[in-house]
Amino acid sequence: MRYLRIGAVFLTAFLIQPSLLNIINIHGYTPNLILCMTILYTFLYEEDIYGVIFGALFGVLYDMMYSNVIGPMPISLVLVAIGIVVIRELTNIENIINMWAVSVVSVIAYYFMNWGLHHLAGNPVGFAVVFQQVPYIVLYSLVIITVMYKILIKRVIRHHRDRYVR
Amino acid sequence: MRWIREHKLIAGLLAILLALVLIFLLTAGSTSKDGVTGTVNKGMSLVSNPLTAVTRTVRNTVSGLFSYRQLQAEVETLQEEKAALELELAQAALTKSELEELRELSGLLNYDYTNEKFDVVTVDITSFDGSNWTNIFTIDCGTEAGIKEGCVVISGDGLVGKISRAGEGWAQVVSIIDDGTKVSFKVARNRKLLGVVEGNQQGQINGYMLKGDAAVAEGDIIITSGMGTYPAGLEIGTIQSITYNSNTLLKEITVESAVDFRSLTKVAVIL
Repeated sequence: MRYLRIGAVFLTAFLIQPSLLNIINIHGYTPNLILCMTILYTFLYEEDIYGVIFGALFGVLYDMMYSNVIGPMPISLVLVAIGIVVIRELTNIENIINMWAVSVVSVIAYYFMNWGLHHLAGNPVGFAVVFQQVPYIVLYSLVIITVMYKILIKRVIRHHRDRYVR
Repeated sequence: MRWIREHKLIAGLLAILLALVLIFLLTAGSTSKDGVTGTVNKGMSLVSNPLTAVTRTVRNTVSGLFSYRQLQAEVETLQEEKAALELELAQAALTKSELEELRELSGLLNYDYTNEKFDVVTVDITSFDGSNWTNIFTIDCGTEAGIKEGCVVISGDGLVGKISRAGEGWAQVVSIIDDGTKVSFKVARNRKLLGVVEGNQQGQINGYMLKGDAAVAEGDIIITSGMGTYPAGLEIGTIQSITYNSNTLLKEITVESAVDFRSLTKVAVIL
């Protein structure tokens, strides 16, 4: 059931990303919703890998539509998710500052890997072009992630981790 | 096997990653993925076309309500422009007969360069790639309208790019910046000044003049020369900077595209 629900969220992000989101872009910048969802769901669900599975699936579909090669987006998403799986063992997921820190690092890492893989496949776009846009995308992504985090954290953590509740 | 049983999560993640790397390596060396992508794009266009249309209508209505004064000013400007254009049209009519004579002459000389007439299909943009660093977008018309790979795409402002892939009900457009092919141009002010431009790694258009002593200036508008893929007369952009390269003995230019790719909603495809 949870798989269906999270799958539906990813599907919505996949449909909104190239259509609605581009029309309401801010100064030409749009966040990567699939990346935001992958970060969020990987960070929040400690025992499951919804983010990795759906990130990989929708990443493949996205590359099929817009890229000359299939792989840069899902590989970058999976690598980011693996990083989060490692980091989340060391952090308290209930602290939003941890969420922000993980998000900033993940978004930067994602764009670095995505650019690198596209570059390997022969895309001529320079490093500078991508990375001068990253600060804006990070900010925009943080807004999306924060809103989604506030909604999801109540579902994920029903009882706060304190000494009275196990 | 024992390691896999003990580390199911890590093994699962590595398996997914390995599968994706394989797909990447296979597709990086191949160009024949049109069958699969065609189906995905066709399915996506069924959903994204109405979604984009609804969003665009809502956005236009809402922004129209808040920009009444600006629209009023725009109407006045357009009325002034209309008057000026009507005057220009009257003058152009006088030179039309002259043009006809020149066309007849070019026919006699077997020179059909000025007789280019094209069928054009006007289409809506339904989705952008969303990567923020490339300008690849999908339009709501495809092979059923005669659109095929390599067709030239223009907007009201100038040259946009080329069709990179097409299927029934959709086609993908790659901008001239991302296309990576060289475009031959001439300066609109003095059409004897020729050069070549292409998209660069910084997401801009740059190129060079064919003659090192070409008298170009910043602010000059460049248009397609008609040599190569693109038909003649399409505006490419405005020259932003000129530098003389003493090694190549060429004047190198940086051009600002005439088209704001991110604000495009409609384009026309030359068949």
